[in-house]
Amino acid sequence: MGASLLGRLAQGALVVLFVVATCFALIRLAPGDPFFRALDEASVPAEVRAAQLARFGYDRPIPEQFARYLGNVVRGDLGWSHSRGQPVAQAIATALPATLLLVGTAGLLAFVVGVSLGAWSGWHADRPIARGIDRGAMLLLSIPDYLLALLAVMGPALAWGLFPVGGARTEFGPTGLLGLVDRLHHLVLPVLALALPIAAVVTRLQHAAMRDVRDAAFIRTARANGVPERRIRWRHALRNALVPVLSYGGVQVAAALSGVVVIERIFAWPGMGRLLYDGVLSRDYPLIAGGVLVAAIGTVLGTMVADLAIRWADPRQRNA
Amino acid sequence: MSTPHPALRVRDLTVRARTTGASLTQGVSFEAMRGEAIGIVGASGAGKSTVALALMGLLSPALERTPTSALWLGETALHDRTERNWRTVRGRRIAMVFQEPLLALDPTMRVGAQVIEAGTVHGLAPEEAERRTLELFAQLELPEPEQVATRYPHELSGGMRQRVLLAMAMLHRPEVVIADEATTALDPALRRTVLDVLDALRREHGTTVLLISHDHAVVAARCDRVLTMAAGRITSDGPTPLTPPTVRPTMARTEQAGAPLLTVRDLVVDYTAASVVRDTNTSTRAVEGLTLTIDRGEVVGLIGPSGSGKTSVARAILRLTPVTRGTIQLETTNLLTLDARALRRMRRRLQWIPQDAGAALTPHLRVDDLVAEGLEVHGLARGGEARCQARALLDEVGLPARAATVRPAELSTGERQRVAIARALATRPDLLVCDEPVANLDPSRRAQILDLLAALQRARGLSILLISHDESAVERLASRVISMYLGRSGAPAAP
Amino acid sequence: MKEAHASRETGVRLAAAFLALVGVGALAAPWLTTHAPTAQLDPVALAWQPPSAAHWLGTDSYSRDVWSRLLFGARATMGIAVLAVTVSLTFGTLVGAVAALAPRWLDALLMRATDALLAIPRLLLLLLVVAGAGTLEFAPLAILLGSTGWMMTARVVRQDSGRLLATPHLEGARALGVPWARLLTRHLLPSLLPTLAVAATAAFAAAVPLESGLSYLGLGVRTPLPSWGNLLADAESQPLAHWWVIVFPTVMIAGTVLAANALANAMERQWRR
Repeated sequence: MGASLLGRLAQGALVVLFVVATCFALIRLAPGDPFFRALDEASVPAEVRAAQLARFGYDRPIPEQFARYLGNVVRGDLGWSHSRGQPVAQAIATALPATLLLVGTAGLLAFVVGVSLGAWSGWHADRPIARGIDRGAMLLLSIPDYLLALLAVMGPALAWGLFPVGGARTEFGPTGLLGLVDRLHHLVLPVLALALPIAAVVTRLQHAAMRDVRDAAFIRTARANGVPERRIRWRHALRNALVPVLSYGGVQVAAALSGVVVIERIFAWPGMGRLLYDGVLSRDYPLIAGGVLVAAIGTVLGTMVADLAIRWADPRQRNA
Repeated sequence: MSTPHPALRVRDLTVRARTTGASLTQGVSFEAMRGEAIGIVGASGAGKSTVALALMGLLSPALERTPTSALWLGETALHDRTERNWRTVRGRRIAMVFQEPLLALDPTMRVGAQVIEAGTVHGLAPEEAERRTLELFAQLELPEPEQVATRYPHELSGGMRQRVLLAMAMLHRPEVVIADEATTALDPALRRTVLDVLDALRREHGTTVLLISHDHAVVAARCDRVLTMAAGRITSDGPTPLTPPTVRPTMARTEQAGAPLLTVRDLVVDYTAASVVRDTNTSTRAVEGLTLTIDRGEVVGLIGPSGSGKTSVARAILRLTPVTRGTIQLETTNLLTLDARALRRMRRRLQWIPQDAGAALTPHLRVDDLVAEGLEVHGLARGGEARCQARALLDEVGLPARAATVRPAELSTGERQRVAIARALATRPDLLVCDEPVANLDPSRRAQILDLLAALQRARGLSILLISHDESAVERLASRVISMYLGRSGAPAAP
Repeated sequence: MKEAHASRETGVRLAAAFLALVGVGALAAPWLTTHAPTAQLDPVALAWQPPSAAHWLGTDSYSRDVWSRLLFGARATMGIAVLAVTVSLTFGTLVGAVAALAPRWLDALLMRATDALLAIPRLLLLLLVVAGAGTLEFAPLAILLGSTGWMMTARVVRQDSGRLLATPHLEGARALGVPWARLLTRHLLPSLLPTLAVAATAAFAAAVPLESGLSYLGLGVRTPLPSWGNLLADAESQPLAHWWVIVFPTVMIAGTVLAANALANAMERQWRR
């Protein structure tokens, strides 16, 4: 249960290594890479082919190639993106901030809304409104994120013109304060589309945890000591009910973040998801590998933050 | 009212379920004087805890007090209080110590802070609350009170947590303290300390103590009066002289030659509690240094109250539960050092009739397959031959032929018990461990099953370890009886 | 209380009925439709027809019949989801049950590996493979979905087996000396059926949006073959005036996922409490 932080770190490193290996296998073994396609043309003389292979180290044994690839990745050299005509690292550096903005805002919104709604409705689980909230969350949970995004584009954006259809800002649009407003305006729909399913997951988890903790013996002890109801709810019940939400929610949120790819594609958001999608369509393997690697590192870091949060919330997980 | 004004008065307390109207207590009435210690005893389910929770206003929302029920704390009527008013009384004037020290403390808060919180919510200054907390910790013999106060519940032992809960209840020197099995988890020396502190509270501050316990000895030693409850009513109310039950040893041990079949030496079993709230660090000692031997063909009884560790002994012998220390030998083989393969083979000789034998039969399998399974897995018989032997066994334990082809759920409790016996006997074991084999049966069936066991034992020269809280059942079969109490064995009785 | 219970019952029945209907529709698609799902009837005259007697759910931009595409799309979506669930359930159950019965070190190894795989967003794994393989046929797509979805099942099965191993009837079998392979197949797995039913339904509820999402992105089932996901891709960025090409696939996807989630919840309440 309470794996040590060091163990977590090792596990995270293992995940990243696994992803790097998969990426390498993809670049090296997948069919259809334009570079090899060009070399394999019948018109290419054998010497030229061999020379080209040697130039990029492709004539070396596979383990050596892997070691070299690993070394490059560690140095931050993720290769050349032929579809963008720029180094992969540079493409990622441009795209990452937009995704972080989107994911950060959506994650924060989802957690604040999910925890508050779930905590309230779980504590009052017998009330009809509370049951309604739980069911509403389940309904929301059942609508795939891309559908939500699609509906948002068609209704509020396309048909009613309330929000921009896509992009992170208006090209050649206003600057300064108005520019900020413009960016926020662009942010609303993608954030909602990404945040709502996560908020639904968090709400349901928090609801169940809070409902269960109501009957815990330590709540009764607090009551027997004459602790006021409000303090019981916030300090004793919610603090304990956060633990399962944090530990289970970490996994769920990682899954929900898959939505970034779809949502960035639908809203033409210039971020990592878009980058990955374009890479897949144009078979730009170094670009895909770089994007997946960054995403994996992001997920591992996210899991570790969740772990730290669990350690804060639950002292029993600390000295393991 | 009578002249020293009673500290607590309970009149016609009836608690019933809101939905069904079934009552958990029925017209409970009693009075308790200032400084008086009252014991409340009775079997589990008799309504003791319900009375306690009703006094605290902490009944679950599914339960309610009837309108005629009346409760007074000193001159304050509690029965018509709103939730907000109850709160000002709880913990300050009437306090309760709960029985699950494992779960009754908030796992996310340092224990010192939890006790101090109980003080400050009733207006005690934080420094004063802290001073009293440390003072109480010291009185309750918690080592290094300042240290303990900064610990989280999971870092303390069960006994330490129990004392933290006691400190909470005593913090405001309330008029009434209700202790619900509050000393059961403690070892005898600690129990004495805790009860002494409660006595001191009575003497110095005139606190009334309600001691809820199934431990007659504790109640007899510490209480002025005892209320006995059964089925939600008070059945007797009087001064204490209650004799603690004594263990009557039975029949003489038959002389045996040669090495014993089973030898258990200095057995220690710790049991790690699986709780709702994840808590991996707590273990309770279930068995503390038990030693026993069983000779070939002998029936040995193991008796003791519930919670005394009998079942843990059975499970340890059967290697179903990890053993902390000690040795368990079947003839000359040490069961504790066997690898998985050898242990599996050894299980042929060592069979089990568990407490709820009906539940121990895999529900989706046919009865004859269940009985034949032992023959098959130990290579004693296969297929049709195994099934044939199984039917013979079912016949031997007195089951009709139709029982062979049905599933366990279609049989009665008594019939299922017979299936479990047939299943255990199929491998022709040397030792049978029977854990409360008749506890779930009505008296007439009980006698039948015991007679069956006795007959089978004689016919097959079986050795049996018979575990029960029911002395009469054990006396019927056993040639020797060992009594257990709180994980230890009393003297093996042999008159 | 009672009222809530009754309304819950109705909900569960509705959910089961909806799923059954979709299943029947998918199986009987050739007999329930009047047009081939890929037939472009008359791209000039018959494109964007609103629902009518001739075309119950209208036609799309290529003049294909939406009702036919929806039913054949159900074949693809449901078929892939069911196959994917079969794969993930089989593998997940095996890993979980073996871990529960195995010695401590193997148990720890299996479960840590499962946790590690769970930390990789599933869509990324899928993208990697799809990118490498190019176009995926029906069955490989389903197997791919299944092989990236077994981890949750493994976890639940491990947890539940741990709980079950402590129940009297499994302890009884253990005390009898039943070897572990027989313990697994005869005593443990049948007792796990409720858990597996819940896990399967939940996995199904996860597989439908994944498949339709991939197909929507053009990476799963590819047009002109219909799947609920790529029906939406065809309809994308169309004004709401052509509502029928959007509303019907949306209702089918959301309805199927909701029904599966509701069923999983109901089974969980029934069996796991």
